[in-house]
Amino acid sequence: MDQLLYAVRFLHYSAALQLFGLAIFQTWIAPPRLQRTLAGPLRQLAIVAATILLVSGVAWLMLMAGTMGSGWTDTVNPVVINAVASKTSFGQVWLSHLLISASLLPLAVFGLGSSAGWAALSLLCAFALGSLGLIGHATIVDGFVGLLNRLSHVLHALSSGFWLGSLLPLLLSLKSLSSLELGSDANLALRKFSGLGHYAVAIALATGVFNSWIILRQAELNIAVPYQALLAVKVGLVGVMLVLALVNRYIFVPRIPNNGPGARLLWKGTVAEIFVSAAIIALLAVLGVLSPT
Amino acid sequence: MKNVHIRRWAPAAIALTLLLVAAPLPVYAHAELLETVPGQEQPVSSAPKELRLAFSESLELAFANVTVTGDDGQQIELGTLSLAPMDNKTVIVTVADELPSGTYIVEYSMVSNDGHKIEGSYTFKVAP
Repeated sequence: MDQLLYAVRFLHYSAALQLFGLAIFQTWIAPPRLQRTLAGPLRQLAIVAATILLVSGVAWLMLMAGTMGSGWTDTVNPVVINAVASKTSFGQVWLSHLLISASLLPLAVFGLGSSAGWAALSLLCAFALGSLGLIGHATIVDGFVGLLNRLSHVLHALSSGFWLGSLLPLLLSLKSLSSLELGSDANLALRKFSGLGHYAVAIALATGVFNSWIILRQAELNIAVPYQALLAVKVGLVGVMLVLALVNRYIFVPRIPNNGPGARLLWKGTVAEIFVSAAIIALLAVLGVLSPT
Repeated sequence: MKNVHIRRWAPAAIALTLLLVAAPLPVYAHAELLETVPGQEQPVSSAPKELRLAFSESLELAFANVTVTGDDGQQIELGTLSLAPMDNKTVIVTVADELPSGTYIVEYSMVSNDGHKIEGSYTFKVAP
């Protein structure tokens, strides 16, 4: 059951990060003309992501019923599912989370015809993604430090969502860089993204360090513990992401003007970032289930 | 301008760091059983009216289960299961029967607030 839970968590986190990132990109990063060009493909992506988010969210609840209860039979036992939803701290967060997730699908299908619809999607996605910072290891400390820990997990989710979730819309807008009509818009979007990206990366790194520190603060560090080994791999991959982001921003972007090789290189660099972020989300999906020590 | 910001925030940041470093936090694994009443080492002289199981993390009462089995393999009838007042890391289970002398196996299954399940067992002795 653990393996299925890993898979479901991977899909759920990916969908939440992607939805938030694309909604923010379309609302705050893309200038109007680029927005109109991106609206079609991003709406399709939003519908797919919202569907995955909802289905995997329900599956997650059922698997938690199986984990907390007595195995596979309890994944479909309404009494146990109801007990998880109504009587556990996970359930309390999850009910609101699922309610928000359920509202995203009709919004993606029917409501993305205007910029207000995209703004509403950003806001609801912020709640959906942020609430993922209120479950699991974020809850192992009580009191004031516990509150800080949850806040830090929420910030980590949102800043990572901005960073990782914007990569695909960025890739789509890179195609417009050489277009006469959209070139300046794509350039502006690129500059805005990398400007805000600096803050997102800084917040994601700082909160990531803080969260790991809270969990492992007094633990005996031992790389043979699966959690710690996988966390070390995650830190390594985040390092790779950081190098890719810096190379993209400070080596490739300056070589874009005058039809330089920068646009093509940036495209490759962004694709590489997307692959590495998928690996990071996969690790995150497993880490949340493992015992840190 | 930047310096002013740094000066304004630095004391708060330092205070927060100190607070976090100084705060007594336990080591976080998944929840584990820390202490039991009756204890697991010394036999108790009188039959316990309740059992207490103290864990390292907050627990979900809805998924807490405790069974007690005597020497003869018979399950002991237990009363209500509750969390200790002001301490949701400790489970209290009342014992309905008067326990005669003997060794008892306590088996527990708990779910901590972070959603992880922990199961285990221990023994205690009643020897008046």
